[in-house]
Amino acid sequence: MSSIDLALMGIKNLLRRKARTILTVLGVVIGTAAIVVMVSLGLGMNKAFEQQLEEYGSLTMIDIYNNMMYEGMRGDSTGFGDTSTDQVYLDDETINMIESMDHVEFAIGFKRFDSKIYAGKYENYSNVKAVDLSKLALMNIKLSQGVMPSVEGQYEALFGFQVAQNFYDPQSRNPYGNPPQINIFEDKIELLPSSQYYEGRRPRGYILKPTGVTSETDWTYAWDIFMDYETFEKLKADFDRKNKTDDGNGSTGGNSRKPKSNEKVNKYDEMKVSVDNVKNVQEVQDQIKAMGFEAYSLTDALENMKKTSAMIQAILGGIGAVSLFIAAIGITNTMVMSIYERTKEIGVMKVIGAQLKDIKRLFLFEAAMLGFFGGLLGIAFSYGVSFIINSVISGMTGDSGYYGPQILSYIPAWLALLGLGFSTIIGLVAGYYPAVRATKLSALEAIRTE
Amino acid sequence: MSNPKEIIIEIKDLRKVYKIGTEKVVALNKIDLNIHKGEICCVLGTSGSGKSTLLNMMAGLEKPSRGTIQIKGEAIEKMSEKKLAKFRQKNIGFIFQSYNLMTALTALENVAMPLIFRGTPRNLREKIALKHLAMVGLKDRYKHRPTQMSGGQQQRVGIARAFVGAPEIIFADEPTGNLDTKTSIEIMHIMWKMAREKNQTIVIVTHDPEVALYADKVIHIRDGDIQSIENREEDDVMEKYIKPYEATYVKI
Repeated sequence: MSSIDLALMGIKNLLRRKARTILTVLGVVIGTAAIVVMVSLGLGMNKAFEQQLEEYGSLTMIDIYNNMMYEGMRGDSTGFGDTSTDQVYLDDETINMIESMDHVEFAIGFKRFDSKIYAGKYENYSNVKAVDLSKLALMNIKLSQGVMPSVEGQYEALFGFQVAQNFYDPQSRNPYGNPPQINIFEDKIELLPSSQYYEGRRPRGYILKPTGVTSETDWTYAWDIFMDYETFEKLKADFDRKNKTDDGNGSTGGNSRKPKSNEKVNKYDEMKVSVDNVKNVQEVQDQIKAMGFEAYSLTDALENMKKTSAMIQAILGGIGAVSLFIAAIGITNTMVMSIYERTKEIGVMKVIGAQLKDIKRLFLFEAAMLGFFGGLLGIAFSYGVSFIINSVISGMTGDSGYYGPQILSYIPAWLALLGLGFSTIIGLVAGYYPAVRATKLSALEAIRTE
Repeated sequence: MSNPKEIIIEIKDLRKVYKIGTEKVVALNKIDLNIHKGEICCVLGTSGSGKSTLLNMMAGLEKPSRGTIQIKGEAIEKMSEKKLAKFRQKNIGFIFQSYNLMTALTALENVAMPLIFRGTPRNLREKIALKHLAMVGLKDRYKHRPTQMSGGQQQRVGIARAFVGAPEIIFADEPTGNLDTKTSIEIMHIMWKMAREKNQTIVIVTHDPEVALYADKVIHIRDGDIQSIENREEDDVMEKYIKPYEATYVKI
């Protein structure tokens, strides 16, 4: 018996008993939809985690800080020269070392300076992060406006998107009550590389040229101003010379002393290392820690979140599996009933030349079809449910939400296909017992009249 | 016709005992029987005589308690279910008392059914099925469903279905049992003509002596034993029954 004939016959048989077929399929629809929706909630949760983490920062970035314990010890000791054997520094040499590691794409150092910027009568305490601009370009910082700054331009800078919001009027009684609208591209932005408070007239600053603003989706650099390291160093030296403000507040990180000629210093407060793949982050992070630095990445958090969500997914999937199991019993029941009803027909088929395997295949096919169509409709239904869940949730928290509309239920193509395959296999398994039973039916009993 | 000596069904020392509770009921006592190729054979007996049991065992639907049944030299009582199914598909056609057509299918689909199991392609099997429907005089009704046909017509579809695969042997279990006399004659006539045409062997089980008139060999069976075997000349049947019938009803 050819497969096409078998399929046609099977489908005809199913259509002959519409009501029962529909009810059985409905059971599978509910079972499949239960599993798919449950798993989709788990996946949605995973996705939300990842989205959230990405807003905290890139998953392939490792943040490095100098080991603060050494700093403290050195602060107390008088002869710091001899403690420096174990001391590690965030300098260009370290960058070169880290960049020579496997899986490392690049390493970038930042030096933070507490500074002030002015726009007309408004002022703004901000961090200037001095950085190698060519490397900053590698970080693929998303911009909402403008372009990345270049070394060639005069005092070019990249602004975090929150910086413009932090201006206030120091003369006002309620300086933060009514934030001014500053357009950093239009208004004249003046930088003072010092956070010192000036009574009366402040010294002259340096006119910045903002070239771009970071994207609102990434809060990592929201309050920073990026400038070229060398340019800023010169600018600051120039300022210090003119104003003789050796206030020791030029930088944070406790390293404000003038370095001796051959003394190693922390050129940077902070470094970021970009790793080629999330999988390798842990390995690189461990190597950096072994060098004596503090290193942080989001992989630890991600691991934990993934573990939690896997557990939740298993529980949700289990709940769905129960309903699919009940649907499987429904298929078996339908097929067994069908055998009782078709006893005579099966007997006649056997007598007029049906092979045992034909009968077996016919019943298996019918059961598999119940599973398949149930699965197909179940997945269509799941997409509907998923859509409703997502639109209701985003309707509730959507625009007010910090991270934009959250995905609660997510059905990727593989889940849909898996659900379909699974329900079909469930149909086959559920149909196996009835199919074997049909082949064992005595033809004689079946055709006996009266 | 062909070599009348060629034995197609050979039954030796056949016995069948049913156990009903603790009681044993002997359905067939001791049957020895040869059926030749191309013979139209009739097993005649009252109900309870064991004639249906004999047919069922010949068709491999029941296992004998003792003895052998050889069809085309193969002992069918020793065959597995799987092998039997294959053997039936290849060699045996079956006509039922209550027609046993698939009510959901048209006449054409019903007739084509055995060919479906053989894996004959759709176009070919419909052509063959239509030819057989024409042979039983139902060419115009190929699209009708069993419920739209009379008993006689349904049995004609059943006959077409039995012959469609050109089996060497056709078993008929009371083929006229549900039909009136006139229709019965019609049915017997069709079966006779079709079997003769291709030298097919028919074994008919019946209690109706009129049906037996068409047989080359009539086996009278009673209480599980063969009482007598009556052989007729082939031409006798032709002269006595077929020709007069055709004279009366020129067209079926």
